[in-house]
Amino acid sequence: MKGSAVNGRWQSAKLLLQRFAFVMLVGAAFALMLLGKADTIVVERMRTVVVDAMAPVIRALSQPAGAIAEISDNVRDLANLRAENARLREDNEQLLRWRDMARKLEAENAQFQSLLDYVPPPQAHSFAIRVMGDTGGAFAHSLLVAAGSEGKVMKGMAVVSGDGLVGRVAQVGHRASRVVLITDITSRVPVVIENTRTRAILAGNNTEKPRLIYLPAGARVSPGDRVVTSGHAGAFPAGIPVGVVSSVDDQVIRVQPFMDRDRLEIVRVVDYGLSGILGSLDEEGRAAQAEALKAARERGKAQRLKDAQQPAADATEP
Amino acid sequence: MIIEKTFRQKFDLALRQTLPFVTAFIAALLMATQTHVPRLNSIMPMLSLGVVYFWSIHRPHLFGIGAAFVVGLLQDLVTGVPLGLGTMILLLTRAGVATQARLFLGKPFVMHWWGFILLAFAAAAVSWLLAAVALGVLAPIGQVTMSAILGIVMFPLTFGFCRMIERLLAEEP
Repeated sequence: MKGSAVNGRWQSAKLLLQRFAFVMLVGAAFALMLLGKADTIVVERMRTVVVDAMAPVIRALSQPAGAIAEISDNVRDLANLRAENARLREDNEQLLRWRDMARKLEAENAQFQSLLDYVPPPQAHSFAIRVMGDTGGAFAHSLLVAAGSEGKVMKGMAVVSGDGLVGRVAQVGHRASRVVLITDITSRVPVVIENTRTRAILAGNNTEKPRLIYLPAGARVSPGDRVVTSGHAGAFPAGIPVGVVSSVDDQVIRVQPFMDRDRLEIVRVVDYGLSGILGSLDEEGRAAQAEALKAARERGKAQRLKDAQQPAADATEP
Repeated sequence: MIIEKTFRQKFDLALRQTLPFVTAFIAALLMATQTHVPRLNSIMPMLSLGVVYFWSIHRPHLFGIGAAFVVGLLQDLVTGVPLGLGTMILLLTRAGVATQARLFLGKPFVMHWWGFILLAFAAAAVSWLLAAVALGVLAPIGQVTMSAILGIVMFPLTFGFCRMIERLLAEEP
């Protein structure tokens, strides 16, 4: 009798403890969400440590899917061999014509450069690394690559594939790094429309087709226009192919990126020696950023003032 | 007659009892791998949700809310989604499903599947709302829905795998 009473009390205490633990853990989950918003550096370090630790397991788990994909690619390639061969012959003829033209332009360019005493940009060096994970789903678009600070990867470096820009290195561990894709909702890439040189920002939206924003008023953009990096803000060097304009509505201009996310197995990390907008956010860096932001705001204010005065001056002119 | 278990038997039992956690842990890591399936790389099925759902019904004492929290946190950190998102979803799933476990225990698979369909869509809606709060913008709802649908389509596989593990748990060491 006494034993059952003790047992009952123990059971109710255990239930109470469980409920308390549940409330505590829900609170902790909320706290994590707030932490993710408030202190991105701590969260970034946590992610880096965990991804580094889990990298061998993720790589091992990725292998079966990679092997199956390789086999299916081989089968598909075999089936398309004849058509592929015809296409390559055609491409080859076209490329030979382009080669002749490029040689002529190269010689001409060298002459002009020597005439102008032109200082060329620093040479970029690049290295290839294997993609080991594609993460995030609907809420984030990123890749995990199998190289970190040991492999000379640094935060802010541009990541490209044979097709075009893939993204930028956002977190670097010892053995693994995270690459934020240009389609990610947090991604902003300064770009230009190649033929009109119209500047814009390519804004990711977690869909396969990011949008062009902040175009100047009256800018002319049509489907099929090529989009390349502009080189502004020091984030990426100028001229990396990004994609083509796929649709132009009244409100939204969408871009189809050149990179094929489903076939990314090896990517190239390119070091252009740019500090970029992603330099480490230590105290000094933050102060410098704050200064730069203040200066930019003041410049913007002065520009707006000038713009406001300009129509008035135009109106007074006969 | 009481038969004392040897150290090896005890160790074997303890190891088996970690299997629910290990399966959920691996499911969370699988969500960070490349599928190489065209148009599917950006849509990952809700694998860990299916595993947590199974263990919350069949072995809740071996997969507590602490385990759900750890698996959710790992998933958030590895996949790069807003921190706390998966943690909250798996935590609520573990707590909510365990209280309704008697509705599913001993019932045919179809009943489990129906339950998971409801859960997957609810989880998609809640995670979409939480992501909107965390990111400050609305994520494409189509991809979240597709992720739930893929999770539902793959649920028979998840269920079968977990059932196999459960049989290992039931075997006498």
